[in-house]
Amino acid sequence: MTVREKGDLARFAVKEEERKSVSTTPVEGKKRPTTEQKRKLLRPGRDMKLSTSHIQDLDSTGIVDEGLRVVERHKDGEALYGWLEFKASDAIDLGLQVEYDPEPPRHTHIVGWPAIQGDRRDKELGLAEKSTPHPLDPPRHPK
Amino acid sequence: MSASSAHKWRPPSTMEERKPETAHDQVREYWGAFNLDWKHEGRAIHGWIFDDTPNIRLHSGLPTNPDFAEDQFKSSESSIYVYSFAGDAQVCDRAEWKDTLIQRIGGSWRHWPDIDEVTAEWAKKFVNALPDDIDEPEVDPTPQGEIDFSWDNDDVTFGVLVLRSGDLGMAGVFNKMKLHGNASWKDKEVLPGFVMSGLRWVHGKDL
Repeated sequence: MTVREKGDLARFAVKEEERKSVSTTPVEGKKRPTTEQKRKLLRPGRDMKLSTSHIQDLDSTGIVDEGLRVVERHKDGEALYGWLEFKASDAIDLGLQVEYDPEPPRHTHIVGWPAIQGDRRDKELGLAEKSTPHPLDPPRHPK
Repeated sequence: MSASSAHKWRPPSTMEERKPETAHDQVREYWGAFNLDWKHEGRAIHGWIFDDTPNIRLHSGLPTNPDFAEDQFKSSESSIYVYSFAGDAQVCDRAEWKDTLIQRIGGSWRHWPDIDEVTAEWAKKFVNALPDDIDEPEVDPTPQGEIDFSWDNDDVTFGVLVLRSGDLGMAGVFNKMKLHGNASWKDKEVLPGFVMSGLRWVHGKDL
């Protein structure tokens, strides 16, 4: 099923190496994260799907709980370092599609990435420009 | 090619002939040829001297100066000699980060899921072909089996994906401007103008 409403989506940072993508601590007085740093969290996987969660009706506690479930499900999940938030419509405006996955609940996929690699990278940057970082400091671990 | 002769490169009248072993800092083996990087009138020129032909062919990686692009002249020497300019041209030193990065790619690719040796070899050649007076890129693998090189200068970002085919995928954001697409590279000796433009923009200088 394709998500057509303008819902909010979250892409969670679940590994230490992804922390820079959501950290808002300035470096040498410069704003962070940069678009490029955010892009690295928004690359589709081997199956050309970017895994996200539908968080429109959740408060911040609910989003953190959802993120912790994502950490538990992720084969390399370490902790919840934060998330990037964007609207489904931002992805759709870039020519991507947002698909709702019935299981697990709230799971969504961003699909429709271009086959031309440079164009795919451009879409990743476009999504990064639209996304807002939400760091968690300290990071949270699943119970 | 521009008709302007203001920056037209000419084979210099004063050429200094060196054997490769005496010019180790400037010369390296490169696809069976020798690769030179140097500067002429403040601009980078990349040259290749092939050991199997008496022709010395110069190429430029500089899209803004097409006068340099196709210059070619004959050498009477069929053996391997390396020529460098005497006078106003200045040798551009090889960037120290290049060898470190090539070593890192050589040591890392086996541990990178989805990356194979062919792609790693192209990535190493890509590093060698980069201009020397730029910042060291961040390098990491993608799940699609590419090696991702990126330069990040706050609001200006540029990146190149080295593909298994040896071609390149590129995308960058330069304030309000965007640049993206793929370019064939494997059969060419210099980086596509596309890449040079992106590198110039992200570094805010001519290369």
